[in-house]
Parts: sequence; C-alpha cells; structure tokens
Amino acid sequence: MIKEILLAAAGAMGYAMLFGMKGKDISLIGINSAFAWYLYLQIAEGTDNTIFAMFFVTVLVGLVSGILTIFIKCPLTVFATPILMPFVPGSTLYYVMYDIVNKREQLWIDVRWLFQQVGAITFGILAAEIVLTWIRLCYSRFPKRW
Amino acid sequence: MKKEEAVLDTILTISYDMLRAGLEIGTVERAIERMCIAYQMEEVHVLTITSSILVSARAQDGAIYTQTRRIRDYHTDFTYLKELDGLVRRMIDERMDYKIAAAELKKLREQFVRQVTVRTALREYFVYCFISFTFSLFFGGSIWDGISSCICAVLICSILYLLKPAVKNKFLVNMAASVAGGAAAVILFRCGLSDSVDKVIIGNIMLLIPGLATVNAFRDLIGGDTISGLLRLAEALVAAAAIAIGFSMAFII
Repeated sequence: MIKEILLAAAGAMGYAMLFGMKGKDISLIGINSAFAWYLYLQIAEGTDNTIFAMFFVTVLVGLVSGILTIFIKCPLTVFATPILMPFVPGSTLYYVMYDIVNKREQLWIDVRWLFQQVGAITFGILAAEIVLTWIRLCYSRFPKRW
Repeated sequence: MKKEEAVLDTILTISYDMLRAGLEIGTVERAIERMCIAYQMEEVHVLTITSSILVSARAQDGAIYTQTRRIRDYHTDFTYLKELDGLVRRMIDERMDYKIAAAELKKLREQFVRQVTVRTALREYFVYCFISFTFSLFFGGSIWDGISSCICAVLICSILYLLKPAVKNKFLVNMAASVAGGAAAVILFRCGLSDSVDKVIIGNIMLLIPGLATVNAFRDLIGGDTISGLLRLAEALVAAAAIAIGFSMAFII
C-alpha cells in the first residue's frame, strides 16, 4: 500500500512538473495526492466500491484545492488537475480504443467502466464546485473569486 | 486605436493566454465579463469554445466593440496561469490603468514564452521519463519495466520534438509517437530488458492519452458548455484512437 501511495504522489508530482509548476507547489501536490490515494484505497476497501471511493476522493480533493487557492491565490485547476491525475482513466480510455481497433468482445465492458470512472470524477468536481460556491456565498469575508 | 478597443484587446489577449495555459472555459468567460465590467463596459457578451474566443461589449458612449481570438494549440503552464490570474485580480480589484496592464502582460509573455533550449528540452525529457517510470510501476510493473518505459519515453519525446513543428496534424503525430513507443516496448521485451510489454506500454500511454481532456469534456457537457464539451470529446476520442492504432501497428511490426 505504501508503494502505491508513494507512486501516486510521484505521478502527480511528475504531472505538476509537466504542467510547468515549480518549487513548493510540487511538494504540496505530492502530499495531497498521497493522502488522496490513501483515502481512496481505504474507502474502496471499506465499501467494496471503487467508483464511490473515486467520487468521494474527488469531492475532497476539489474542496482542499479550493481552500488552498484561497490562500495561494490561483485558479482551482492549478492544484486539482495534477492531484487528480492518478485517478484519471487514461488506461481505460486506451483499452476502449484498443478494443475498437482490434474488434475485441470486451469493448462494452471497458466502455461501461470508462463512463463510470469519468462520471465519478466529473460529478465529484461539480459537487466540490457547488460546495465551494455555497461557502463563498455564505461567508462573504472569504476573498471573492470571479 | 481607441481606448475601448485597446482595453478589449488587452482583455482578450489575457484570456487567450489563460485558455491556452489550461484554465477552464467557464472561468475564462467569467474573467472576461468581470474585466470588461471593471473597465466600464456594459452588455458584455462572451462566447468561448476550445478553438475560439468571441467578445462583444458596449462602451459607455454606446459604441459596440467586438473582437475575436482563434486558438490553434494549447500549452499547459500553471505557473504562467498563476501570474495571469494575479494580473486579472489586480485589474479587477485595483482598476489598474489598461496601459499598465498591457505593459505587465507584455513582460509576462516575454518571461514565459516557450523557448526550446537545451535546458528546457532536458527538463522535458526528464519529466517524460519520470512520469512513464512512475506509472509503469504504479500499474504493477517491475523496475525493469520502468526502465524500459523510460527508454520508450525518450523515444516518444524525441518524435514529438521532431514532428510537432513540421506536422500540424495531431492525429499523425500521436500515431507516429505511439508506433515508435510501442515498437520500442516490444523490442525491449524481446531483448529481455522488460518483464511485461503491457506494463511498459501503460507507462507511456499516460504521456499521450487525453484522459484529462475526456474528463473536462464531460464536465463541460454537464455544465452546459455543450459545444465545447462535444469539441473536446471529439478531440479526445480522435487522439485516443490515434494512440490505439499506433500501438496496435507496433505489435504488427
């Protein structure tokens, strides 16, 4: 488990570097990504539902990124995107296209899995944005975003 | 150029750079609206899709100004995005003079222009190797799979550097990079350097596959930006198809 968590953090930090980030931002992303993956593993094991775990962790990552952006003053996507990279279903999308190109029978299984993963992340981010908007509306003393 | 045209030009240039740097479409549109209102423009209408920004605003004297920008490529740079975000916040909060804003934008553009030097190229090679090594191990590969993945990543990065300036067709560039990466993975496996071709390939797929673009496409679709969502989804699926075809061809070769 520790190996997975460290690799998830390293992967997120790699993407942060690819996206032009520098310095302590990369370390922040690594720490948050490690914690997110740890939480994902625990929830997936506890509920036996990886999709729910993905959704829950995405909401949490969105909220934490939103809070970070209030103090560090930058758009939400700057932190949320690299932290979520280990969760993004890149390999699933590849397998869907591979199934189409090679006419494999498990195409629809992979398509369903892709939609579930993408849906979990998409709705997770939307839920986090809704909660952050409510927080900003309720507490006007927070610095206003656009 | 009239003052309002110059203001709109600066606002649009900032938004163009923000969109290219990786900001979401909805946030870009809100930023444009807030900046126009801060500079006393009324009736601001913004349409942003992945390949174009169109803004129309009415000045206080009643004249309507419309400008557009065409986006042909993206280069995600979150450090540049942070700087632009800071500039936009100051323009809105402090009502910065548009000439000072334009001068600051010019300085930022000069500072962050993407110049291909030996140092930036080496950094990119290192990052590609790091990502492919990490994800190869993350998906269950061995150390040797990770090392093979690094070698393939160097090849993919080289192909991208060679082809991107000359070949504008992203489909062909992605396919060529995938063929090269896949062929290298198969050769390294047959030479006994890696334990599993799949794990080597998966590390390299993470460099090319538009997984994030797919997620953002669904976000746009559900959020109401239907045109942007469909455009992004089509681009993501075409890119994924190019990569799948490329890796499949590598196995045949």
